Amino acid sequence: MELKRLGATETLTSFEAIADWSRLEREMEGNIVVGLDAARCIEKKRSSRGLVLKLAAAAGMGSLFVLGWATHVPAEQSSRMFTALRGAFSGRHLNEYTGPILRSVPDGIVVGSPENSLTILHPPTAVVSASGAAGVEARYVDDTGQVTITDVYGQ
Amino acid sequence: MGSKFLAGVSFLLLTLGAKAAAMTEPDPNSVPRWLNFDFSRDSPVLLVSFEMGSSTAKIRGTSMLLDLHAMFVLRNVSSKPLAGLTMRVDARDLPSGKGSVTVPSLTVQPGDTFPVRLDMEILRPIAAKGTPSLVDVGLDCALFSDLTAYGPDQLHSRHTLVVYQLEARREREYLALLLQHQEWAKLRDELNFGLPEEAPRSLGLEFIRGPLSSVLSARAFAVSPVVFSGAPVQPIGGGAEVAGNEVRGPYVELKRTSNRGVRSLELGWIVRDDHDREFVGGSVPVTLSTEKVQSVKISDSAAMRFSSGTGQPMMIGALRAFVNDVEFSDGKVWIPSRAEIDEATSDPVLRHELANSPEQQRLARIYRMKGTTGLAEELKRTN
Repeated sequence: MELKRLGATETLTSFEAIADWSRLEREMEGNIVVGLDAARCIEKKRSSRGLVLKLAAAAGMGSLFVLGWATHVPAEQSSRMFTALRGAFSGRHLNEYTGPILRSVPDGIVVGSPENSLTILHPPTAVVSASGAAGVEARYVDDTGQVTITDVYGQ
Repeated sequence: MGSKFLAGVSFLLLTLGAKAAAMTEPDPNSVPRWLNFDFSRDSPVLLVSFEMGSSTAKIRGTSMLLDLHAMFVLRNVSSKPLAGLTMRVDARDLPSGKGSVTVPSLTVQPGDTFPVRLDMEILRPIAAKGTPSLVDVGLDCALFSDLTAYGPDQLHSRHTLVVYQLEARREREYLALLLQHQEWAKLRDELNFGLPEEAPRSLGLEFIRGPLSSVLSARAFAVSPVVFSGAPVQPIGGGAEVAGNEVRGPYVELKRTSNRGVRSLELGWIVRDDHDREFVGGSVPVTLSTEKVQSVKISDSAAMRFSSGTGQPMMIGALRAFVNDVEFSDGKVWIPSRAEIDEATSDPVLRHELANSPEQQRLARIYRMKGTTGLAEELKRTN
């Protein structure tokens, strides 16, 4: 009996607490508006700070790239690349040679075109030099102790 | 109906797969046909055996890449000791390209055999009409120890082999003298141990054809001569256009200092890189048509690009020229003596470059592997 009475009292008290529903609604709406406004303020602050950070990081990376390029890439290669880019953007046709090539690579001497070529191979330790007006030679001592000289001619 | 269709598709796929697999794996029966050996009946060397080792064929884009590793054994069937030879290599699909393999510094007695290696890659379009063999290999020149030669000599290899043989004799005599006088420090210096860099220099070369880049500003470089006092023809100066790592249109003026008739000579080029290292960048044979002319200007329209072995452009710091050898009208050949090389420059690295020969390279390896005893035994065998 006592428990029942206590339960009824408590329920009545709670009911009385939320009896002013319209006041509570206004308070809640007010709180929500304040919260939303505060969130908007923080968001603006954060986004502007993020943008500054991103720009600073990009500038840092760019500076690093330029510094790395200046200290590691020879002027020769830079000038070639800029020429190629200038030609590509200006639409001018660069007189690229498309005939047979003759050049040495770390393990051989190549003659021909990208689709049809002859490469005579040699160890990377071979001594490479020009041979005549259109030839490249490589000289090395093989595993058996015998000297071998390979020549590739462009004409 | 459906199952028959599926079976047909499966069969087609399997057939195509098998064909693709067959294209990537070499057919053992067809491997020998990739190379065609051509020795005339009176050739002083004949083919004894031949193997292709780990040769493979692979598809690369629209082309087929043949990776050929041939080892063939030849026998000296002449009556004279063989001192060196050059084999001509012709790729049939490449009219503009040919190659050669030279084996100098040989001492092959009559009846003896010796191996020759040929490692190469051939890239050809898959659609190209096939020929029974892709590469022709034949003898261009064989040089005997008495400096007589046999062969068509289409690659000017007789002269080169004679020069190698004379250089080999010079080096053997010089090293034998150092051994005899027990000049161990000099011997070490000579065979690289005293030099700052023991590893061979790594160099990349490219012949530039077609229009040259107009962006790189070319500078006029003077070519300074390296003079050997006893040379019958001496360089007196020259020049070239240098743009970064490119050398264009070099020329050298030569002066005759001997009354003997000169048939041809070989002009060597020394290049100094941006690290002040000097090395022999190459040599060019020059035919002198008019014997009576006392001075002559040799020019070449070629352009070359230098790089390090890793592909980094090598800036040209200086150019020099020297006369490597001279062939007189009677066929005799002059090369600089060791004393003349020592006299020409005080730079030990450049001196080493000028005296560097295939034989020196071979003897240096023996010295490193077997020491002075091994070197002495080798010099006894060959001198």
